[in-house]
Amino acid sequence: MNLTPLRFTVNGKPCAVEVPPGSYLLDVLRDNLGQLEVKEACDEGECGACTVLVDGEPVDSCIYFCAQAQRRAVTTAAGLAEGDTLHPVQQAFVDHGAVQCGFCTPGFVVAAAALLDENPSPTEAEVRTALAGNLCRCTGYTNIVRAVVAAGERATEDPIA
Amino acid sequence: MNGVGAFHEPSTVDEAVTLLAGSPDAVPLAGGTDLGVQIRRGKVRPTALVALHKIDDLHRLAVAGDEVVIGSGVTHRRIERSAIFDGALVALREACETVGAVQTRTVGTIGGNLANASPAADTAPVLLAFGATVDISGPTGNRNVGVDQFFLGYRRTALSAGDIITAVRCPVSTTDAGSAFLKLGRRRAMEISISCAAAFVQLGEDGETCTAAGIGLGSVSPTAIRATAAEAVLIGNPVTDELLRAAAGVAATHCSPVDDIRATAAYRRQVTRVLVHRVLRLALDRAQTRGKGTPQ
Amino acid sequence: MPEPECEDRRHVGRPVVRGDAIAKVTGQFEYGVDVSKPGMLHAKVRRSEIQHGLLRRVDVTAAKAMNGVHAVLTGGDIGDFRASRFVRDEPILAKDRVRYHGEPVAVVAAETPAIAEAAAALIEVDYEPLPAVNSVTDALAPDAPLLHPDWESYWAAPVVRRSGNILNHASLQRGDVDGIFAGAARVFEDTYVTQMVHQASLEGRVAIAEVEPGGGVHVTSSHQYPFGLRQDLSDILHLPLESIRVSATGHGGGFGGKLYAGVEPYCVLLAQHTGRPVRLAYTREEELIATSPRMGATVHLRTAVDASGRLLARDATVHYDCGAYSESSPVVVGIALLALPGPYRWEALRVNSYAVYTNKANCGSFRGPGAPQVVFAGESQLDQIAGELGVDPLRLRLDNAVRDGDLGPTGQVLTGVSLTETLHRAADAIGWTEKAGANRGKGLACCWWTTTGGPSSAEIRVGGDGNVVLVTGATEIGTGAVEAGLVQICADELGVSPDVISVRSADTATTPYDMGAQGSRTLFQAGNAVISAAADLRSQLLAATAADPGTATSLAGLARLTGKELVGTGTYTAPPTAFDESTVAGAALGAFNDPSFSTHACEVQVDPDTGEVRLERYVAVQDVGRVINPTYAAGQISGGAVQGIGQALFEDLHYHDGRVANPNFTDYKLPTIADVPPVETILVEQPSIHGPYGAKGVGEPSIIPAAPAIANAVADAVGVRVRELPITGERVMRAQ
Repeated sequence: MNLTPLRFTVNGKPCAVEVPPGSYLLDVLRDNLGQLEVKEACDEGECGACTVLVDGEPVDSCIYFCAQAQRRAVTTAAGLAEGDTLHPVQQAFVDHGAVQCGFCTPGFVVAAAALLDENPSPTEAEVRTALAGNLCRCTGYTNIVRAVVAAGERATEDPIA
Repeated sequence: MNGVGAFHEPSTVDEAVTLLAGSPDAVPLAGGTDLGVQIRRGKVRPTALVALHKIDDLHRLAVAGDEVVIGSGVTHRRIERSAIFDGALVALREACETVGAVQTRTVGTIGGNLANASPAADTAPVLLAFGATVDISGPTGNRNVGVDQFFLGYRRTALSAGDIITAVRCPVSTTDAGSAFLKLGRRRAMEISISCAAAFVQLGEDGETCTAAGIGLGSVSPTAIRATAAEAVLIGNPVTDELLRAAAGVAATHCSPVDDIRATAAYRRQVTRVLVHRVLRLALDRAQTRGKGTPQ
Repeated sequence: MPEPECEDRRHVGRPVVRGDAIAKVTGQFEYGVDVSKPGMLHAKVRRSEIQHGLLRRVDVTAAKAMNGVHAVLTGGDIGDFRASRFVRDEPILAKDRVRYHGEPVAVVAAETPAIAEAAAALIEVDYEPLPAVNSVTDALAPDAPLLHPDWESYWAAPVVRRSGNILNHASLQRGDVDGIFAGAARVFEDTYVTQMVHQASLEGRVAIAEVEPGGGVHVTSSHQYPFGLRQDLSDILHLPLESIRVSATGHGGGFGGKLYAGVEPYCVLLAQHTGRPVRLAYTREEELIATSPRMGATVHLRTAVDASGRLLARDATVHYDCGAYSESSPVVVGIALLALPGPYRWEALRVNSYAVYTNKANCGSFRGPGAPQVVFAGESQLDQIAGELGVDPLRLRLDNAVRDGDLGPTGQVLTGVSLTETLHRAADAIGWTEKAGANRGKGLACCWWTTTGGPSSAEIRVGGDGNVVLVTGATEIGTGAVEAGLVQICADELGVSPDVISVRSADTATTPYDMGAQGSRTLFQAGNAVISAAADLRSQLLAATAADPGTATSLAGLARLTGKELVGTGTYTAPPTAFDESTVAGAALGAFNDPSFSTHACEVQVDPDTGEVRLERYVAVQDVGRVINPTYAAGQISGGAVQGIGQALFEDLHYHDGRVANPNFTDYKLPTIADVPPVETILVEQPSIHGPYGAKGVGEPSIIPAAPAIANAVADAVGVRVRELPITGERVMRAQ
């Protein structure tokens, strides 16, 4: 099997891999790069557990070829926090009980972070539209919506903004 | 380990066509939101992928003269966000907003949605209703085909080996036109429709007579279809709700739905009548509002 | 330095943040799928391509010859290894016949998952097809083929009543049912059908087994019940219990789907054969075609009432379509006896509940097992009765609701009853008396549910530095019961901050016994064990200070003084609930322990032209006895309600031509965030007798009343009664 060399960054860190040309980003992130925070649950772009940001936009990494990420910036849930300071979305998930089993959480927090980048103070309806590609089987979504809306309010209150 | 032995990233259309024509088991890759699934499931087993994302030409999105040119690589997300689809062509934005979820729309493209030729492709009925055409480049040169000539059968298109879609062209409408898209499924997101319908309606100077109409239907035939017989009911006539109902009835009669896991054929036919009536009503209301409003 | 014991802080009842929250939001939390072991091989199951047939030949020559393949095992290569806990009817690899599409026929262990998959595909299997039994009706036909011709030879738990294709017949008989029906003012008779739905935990089944130097096996699994799994492995593989260690990993969801041996026996066998650690993870497709979903059911329901709407008697026949093998079905169908009558007063009851074999994947336990099917029937029919008699459905329920001191369906004396309060709170929240708009309707439905018993144990270790380690066999499957609830109880019982408590849980070698995360029991049973362990520690401190008043006044101080860790131990087993044993047969569960009561109410908008149902508002009121953690109690209720909404409106594991037609998340439609409104949760506190601080089990009930609440709202909106789930637009149109 011929391998193709690929370069991209993961959470700001440059990565170089040599992988089969048809490799999916999810598999390379988990198997080659040890980014186990990226979860696999459906393998066909239906559940969003594997969501990562590519150049800031959410994609389902299970059906996204790694080669499509060539020279781009990949962000996972592990790359949202700055040092010990959680991303506002992550903190809101903690504070509002939006985490139960947590398997969907890494996908949710990156998708929500991308939403807040584009729309710093989303309404409940906007949150539901933006996160419709992320399935959660535990929470019934109530606390997830609450958390993201709250994180948005927090973001707009931030004096730096 | 899926058998894909090469991943090409041509930077021109010619280069892409040459690569595809030279390798019968190579397939073009746009966003990959469907192809990625098909390969995962083993339904498609290409030996090489020819990714189109590095071809600048395929990313243009602009009004050029009397048409809107949408490069085949334009994502659903870009269409959602583009002001070009604020007006008479809003149905395309509405269709794009219902494709999968944000993750799908971020990478999924309009060209891919057409080439994939699912009978449930959300953008296809809209482009049919618009009377849009597609630019195709291939080993035999370039050609332009109406979207109504593009779908040949269940997941079969006018594309031959080595062909790629380079752009979609939608006629720019006058101010007194309106469009709409409606989709019915079990869920409100991540949904393959049970039935979907798009309408484009243009009114004459009297604000009542339909001078042009387009009706596209999805998920009710082996391909997305244009309901020309239903359009004929409208064209040249003053539009009344009764006329819209009559057109919807014709559209529902002329589709050929099947039973599947999502719904029965009978239900599809029943709701297609409802959707077509509603989508015409919406498009008409928009046309009338736009006709009364300030010209763009 | 102030001792932590001096802090006057109470944590029970407050929204303390769970200990694993930060690891989960940053993605650092380790799940079963994230675990790997050095030298690990990967397994793949080869599954039957046909629904029913005799196995003629299984040829593994080509698979074995593949580079990188270490072992291939078929039914012929292994002993008589059979599951399950109540009827031992399932060879873990098919021996002479296959009984469902997807049944394991062989397993492969190889260097990589890809090699294992390729090798499994190379196995040649010849079948001689047999006629298939596709439904309960097929299975009970006079000339139906027997799925298990040797059924009489199987070991079965004594409570199970079997006969041919009937895997268990559970029955309840109380009072003069026929006499009351004969004299009743009105009799209502309807049939309701529910579909097969899947737990669909986002993390599928996954385990690793390794053989340890002494010959024992160590199994690491994303499992809800490590001690039960150890017993299963011992029973199935004929291994001494003490030679098996099971460590539960972090959980990506269970909901009852990970209570029995699944992938683990294959891992153990392959590890024994290869001497290498072996990992097996199911794909989504395998999860959906060959694990243990909720069985579909047909409920034939007759109810006798007087002219005023007083409920008199119920007579029900329930057939559960249980698939090819038993798993937990024999027990699950017994739960119908208690769930079907609901929390109402009856003069007489008769319920015949059958578990029936069919050529489908075996069904099993899914949150509130057995109940959603029959409660859909019972609560739907109550609204039909109310409608026919011109009585408000709320009034009908209030008038017939059980109250403290009433007897349950099997004669248990009910205490801590809060049904009427949940009804009032739900009605107030949804605005029951306000008329909904056009094509808009409101509905409500109730249920009662058990808090499952069984032993739990805990150990609390206090070091001289004041750090506390809580050691428990209980499993944190995501609810927060362990990572928040038990920690809060431990903190308050010891008078320390939750911050100094760390948890070690769910490992058969290093933690004391627990009956697993099932039946809404964890916080209730393990919480009591923690209270008991804390009491043990406090008595040690008292004894020390009594012996020498000058000695330490705190646990940490005492630990420093004695120079060793203090260890408090506690166990708890809830006392059995008394009931009239003469009323039931074939049921493992004869009463609901420390029952909880719930009412759900919702408002829907129905499109009269397409039948589409749009859920506009949803209220879930549940009696939790005593709130331990309001955030996570409400979170669990919200999650259960949305799973119930999934069964009501979206989900349907659908068989067509003998196989699952939608084995993926594209067509098995879980509710998305865009499909559901926020769940407005109201917690009622009517203390239980035995629960910690009066708590009741919380986890399961919220999935149960959703479907009938929605069906009742649809009927209120457009006058259409849908008696089959899910309530699709098409069914609404057809029912008009």
